[in-house]
Amino acid sequence: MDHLMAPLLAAKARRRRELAALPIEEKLKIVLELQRNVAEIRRSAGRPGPEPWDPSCIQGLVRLP
Amino acid sequence: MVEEGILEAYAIGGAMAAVFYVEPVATFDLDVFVLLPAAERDQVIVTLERQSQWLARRGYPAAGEHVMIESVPVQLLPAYNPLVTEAVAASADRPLGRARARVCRPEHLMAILVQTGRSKDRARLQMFLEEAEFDRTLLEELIDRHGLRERWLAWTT
Repeated sequence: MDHLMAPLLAAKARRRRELAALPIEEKLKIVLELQRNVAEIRRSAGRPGPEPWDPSCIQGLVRLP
Repeated sequence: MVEEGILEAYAIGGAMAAVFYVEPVATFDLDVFVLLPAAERDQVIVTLERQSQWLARRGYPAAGEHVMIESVPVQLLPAYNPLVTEAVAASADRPLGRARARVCRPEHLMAILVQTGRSKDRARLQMFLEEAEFDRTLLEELIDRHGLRERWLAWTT
C-alpha cells in the first residue's frame, strides 16, 4: 500500500509547497474563494457562520476578476 | 494609529499572518497583535476603549470582539505575553499589492503556535515546517528562551 500512497502524498506535498510559494496577492484571492466555499457549505448544512469578506476589501491590493 | 499615539506598534498575527508563509487557509478574521502605549499597557485592567473609539470615529464600528474594517472582521489583541510582545517588536513590513503590511516573522508565529498548544496550532505548525522558509536557529532560540522545548519535542519528534 505504501508504494501506492507515497507518490500521491509526495505530489500533494509538492502542490502545497507550490501554493505556499505563490505571491501573497494570489493567496488572498484563494483565501476569499475558500471563505465563499466554507460559507456555502455551512449554509447548506443549516449552520450559517461568518460571512466571506467583500472582495472589494482587497481590490486596492490585487486585481480581481 | 501609531502616528497618533493610539498604538505603540502592531503586527498581523494568526492565520492571516500564516498565509504570508504557507499555503492559503480558510480564515474569516484578521488578528492584529498590538502594543499599547506604556501608560495603558501598565494598567491593572487593560482595555482597548481608546482604540475602539478612534476606529469608530473613522467609520469602523465594533462588532462583538471585532472591528469591521472594509468588511473584514479585525480583532485587536493586546500583546499578552513576552513572546507575543517580541513578535510585534520583531515584525517586518512586507509588500502587499500597492501597500505594505506589517507581519510577524514566521519563527515567532511558529513559537506562538507551540505556546498556544491547541490541536489546530499543531496542525498549522506542521504546515510551517513543511512549507515555509524560516530561520531554524532563531526558532530554536525562541523555543528555548520562552520555555517551549518540552512541547516542541513532543510535537516534532
